[in-house]
This record gives sequence, structure tokens and C-alpha cells, in this order.
Amino acid sequence: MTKRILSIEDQVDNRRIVRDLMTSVGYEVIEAVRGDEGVTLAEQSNPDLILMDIQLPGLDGYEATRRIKANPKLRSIPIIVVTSYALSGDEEKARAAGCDAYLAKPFDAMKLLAVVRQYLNA
Amino acid sequence: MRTPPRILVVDDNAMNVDITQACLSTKGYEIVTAADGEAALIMAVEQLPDLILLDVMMPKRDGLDVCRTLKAERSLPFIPIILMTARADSEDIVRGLEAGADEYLTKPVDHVALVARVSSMLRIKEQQDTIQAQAAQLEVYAAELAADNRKLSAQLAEEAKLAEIARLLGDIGHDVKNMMMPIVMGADLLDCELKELLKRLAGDDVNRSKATQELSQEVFGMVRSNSRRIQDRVKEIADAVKGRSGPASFAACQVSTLIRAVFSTLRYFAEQSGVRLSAENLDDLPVLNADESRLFNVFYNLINNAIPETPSGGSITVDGRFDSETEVLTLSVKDTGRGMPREVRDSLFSKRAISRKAGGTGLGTRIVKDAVDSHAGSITVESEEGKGTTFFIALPLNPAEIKKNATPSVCSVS
Repeated sequence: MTKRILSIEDQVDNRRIVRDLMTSVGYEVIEAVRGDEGVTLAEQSNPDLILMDIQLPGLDGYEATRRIKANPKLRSIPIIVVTSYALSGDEEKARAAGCDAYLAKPFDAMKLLAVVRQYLNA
Repeated sequence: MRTPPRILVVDDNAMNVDITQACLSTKGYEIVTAADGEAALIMAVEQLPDLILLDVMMPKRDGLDVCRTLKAERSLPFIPIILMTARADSEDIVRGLEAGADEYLTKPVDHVALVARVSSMLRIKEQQDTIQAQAAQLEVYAAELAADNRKLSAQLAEEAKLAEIARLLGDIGHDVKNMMMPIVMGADLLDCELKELLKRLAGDDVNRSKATQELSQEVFGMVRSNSRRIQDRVKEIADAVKGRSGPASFAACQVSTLIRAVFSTLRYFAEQSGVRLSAENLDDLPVLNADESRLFNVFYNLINNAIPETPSGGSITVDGRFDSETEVLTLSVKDTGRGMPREVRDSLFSKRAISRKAGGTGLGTRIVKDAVDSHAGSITVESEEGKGTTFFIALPLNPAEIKKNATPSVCSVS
């Protein structure tokens, strides 16, 4: 069955390139622009993996991650935080919020794919 | 007050003046005299006596008038005035005190009382002079404080401005990274797509496609490496401003964890360049009191600079050593790269650091030096062309204690 990835990202080009990359290797991609939309969409569409930006309108990525991980039905969905924050401590904050992996932007396609595959095949 | 004190005796009766003068001279006072109110005013301003003995009943201006005028004159220092009145009339005494007189004596003057009053008034004069001198000194201090305050607020405004610039640069860095993402990932995706496409070609097209493939590889390589450079520049500038704008914040820092974090940030870049990153002897080092983000920048910059200098198959090793006697922790960053020519090595960490990277600002090594300085540490380098370069960073276990006694060295970014 086709794996479904929820991409939560407010930058239109970033959303697009993630979609292009993921669909090119055969994944289905659903998208949210705001953090709160992302949480709702996660509840409704039960994705296999979530790519989460941190700086988002509505709810930030830390809080969105916390809410998804607090929901017993969604808890097992792996969340990969992708952020352009690069201050020390940001990764700790993302981990504390409950994310499974952390990638600092910009990353290359192969690196992102490798991490996504690692979680989808696990 | 003068030594001996100068006393102005004012009386229109010359005999009274003589008697008073004779009486006071025995005490060693300097006596000046005036025969009427007008003369008294002139003498008071010119001679600035320490005390005035003033007759009330005089032609032209009477003593009360002179007393009022002198006490109203703000440019004069405090001069005590003893009124000498012929009548022991209580109404006269009240009028005299209301005119501003400090004391009174009734005529005929008792000489013992005169000497006693004069010496008591001179004591008061002396105290007044002391108070005035202290007040003047206080005004000087207040002015100095106000000047310091102005300087301090200017400094604070400057610091606020720098913090604002640092924040702005942080935002720019954030935006740049966000905008780089579609470029970096897009290049990868295009690369894959193109390879797929070229695979499907047949016959003559395969040979022609070789050139296309090589060209596209070169272009993709440029996109990737220049994307990296843009990020490095933004980070360097942001770090340079950050390093200057805020004070270092020290906390317990595990060196092995810190180096692992630096490695994980640079691992991919190193792998692409075929360079192995390794850590040795870091796990048993004592906990360091340090500003972690600044130390991160030190090792990030040193290793990031070393990777392109190291040929594929080489390695970069971070090694640690602790001297328990001096309580100094020495970390080395050793690469198997091409080494540096002497002029580059000598200019390292100076204000005119030479950058060997294309488009390099030389800021990276400045950031390293500033960060090491802020830990009261030192950095040295050994390099041999063709063999590699090793940086030694010596850090006291507790820089705060050392820094208390040392003036921080400030390296400005020009």
C-alpha cells in the first residue's frame, strides 16, 4: 500500500519540493500550512509519517508535535522535525516535544529520503 | 575662613571703633574698619571679612539696611553679622534679627561678652564654610555621575543596537536557510530525474548524452557547493555579531557531547568529501565551565575549514588531554590536509586573517579567537605543508575565576 506522508510547512516552495521529491519516489503526500491544520489533518487522515516545520503560523511545530504525540491514536506516527533554526538547544527542544528525528534545513534530498525510508520501513 | 580671621568693624563713632579694635587685636584677629553704611557695603564686598560687627545707628545707611543688603547678596559667602545696638529694647533686637543679623550686642559693649560672641560666631562661620565646600564637592560628584550616566546610556543604546542587528541577522539566516531548501533539494531531484532520462536513451544519443551528463554533474556540484557557501557566510556573520553583542554565559559543558554535536552537523559534508571525523580521549575529560554555543562555533569553524583542505581518504581528529596540576584542558584538532604556508599561519587569528576559501571572509578564524579569548584560553597552531595542520586549544577548567582578574581582550570586527 502507498505510504502517506503529511508535510506541515508554511513556505510554498518548500512544500512543493518536498511533494515533488516524495511523489517521485512513490509516496502519497498530504499538506498543511498551519500547525493547527497539521494536527487536525493528522487526526483525520492517519498518515504513516509526518514532516514538521518549526516556525509555523497557528501552532508552532513544537506544540503541534506535543499534541500529536499526546494523542494515543497518533502517538506511533513518526515525526521528523525539519527546521532552519540552528541555535544550540533547538534540537533538544524538538526532542523534548517528542519528535522522532531532527533535520536542520537545508538538507539534501538524499538525506531526507534516507531518514524518511528508515522510519517508514521500520 | 582666613587665618587669622578678618573682622570688619563698622561704626560712625571713631572712638568706638578704636576700643573694639584694641579689644579684638589682643586675640590676633585682623581688623578692617568702615565709618558708615555705604563704606561698610564696599568693604564687605572687597575684603570678604569672616565676621562683621555692625553699629545700628549710622548716617546715610543704618545698620539694619546694610544687614539686609548683605544677607540678600547671593554672590557673597556666608558672613556672620553681629549687630551693636544702643538700646536693649526687645523690639530693636527683633528688627535686627529679622533683617538677617546672626547675633546682637547692646552698648555699652562688655568686652568679655564681645570676645566670647566673636569667637562663637567665628566657629559658626567655620562650620558654614565646611558645609559649603562639601556642597560644592557634592555638585562636582553629581556632575561626574551625570556624565558617567550619559556615557553608560550611550553604551547601552549601542549594545541594544548590536543586539538588534544580531537578531536581524538571525532572522535573515533563518530565511536564507528556508529559501535554500528548494534550491538544494531541487538540484538533487533534477539530478535524479536527469539520470533516469539519460538511462532511457539509446544508440548515438548515449554517446552525446555523456557530455550532457558531465556538464549537468558539474552544474549540480556548483549549485550544491555554492549553497553551502551561502549558508556558511550567513552563519559566520551572524556568529561574529552575536559574539560581540552579548556576554558569554558559562555553564557545565561535557566536551565529548559538544564535539559529537559538531560532528553530527558536519558529518554529511565530511562524508561527501571523503573525510573521516574521529574523536579520541574525550570521554574521560572533566566537565568544563564554558559557553557551549561559543565553543561549538570554535570547533564547527575549525573542522568546517579543515574538511575542504583535507584530501579524500584523509581524517580530522579531535583529541583531548587534561593537566590536573594547572587545571587546563587542551583539545587538538588535527587534519591530514595539505598544511598551510607560513604567511597564512602567521596571519591566523589576527585582524587581517587571510581566507583561502573562495569568497571567504576570514571571519571564521576571528570568531574562533574571540570565543577562545572569552574562555580565558589560548589557541596555537602547528602546520607543515603536505603533512597537515593541528590546532591546540587550551581552556582553563574554570575560566570565570581567571577572568575576574583579567581584562577581557576585545577583538573588533572591521
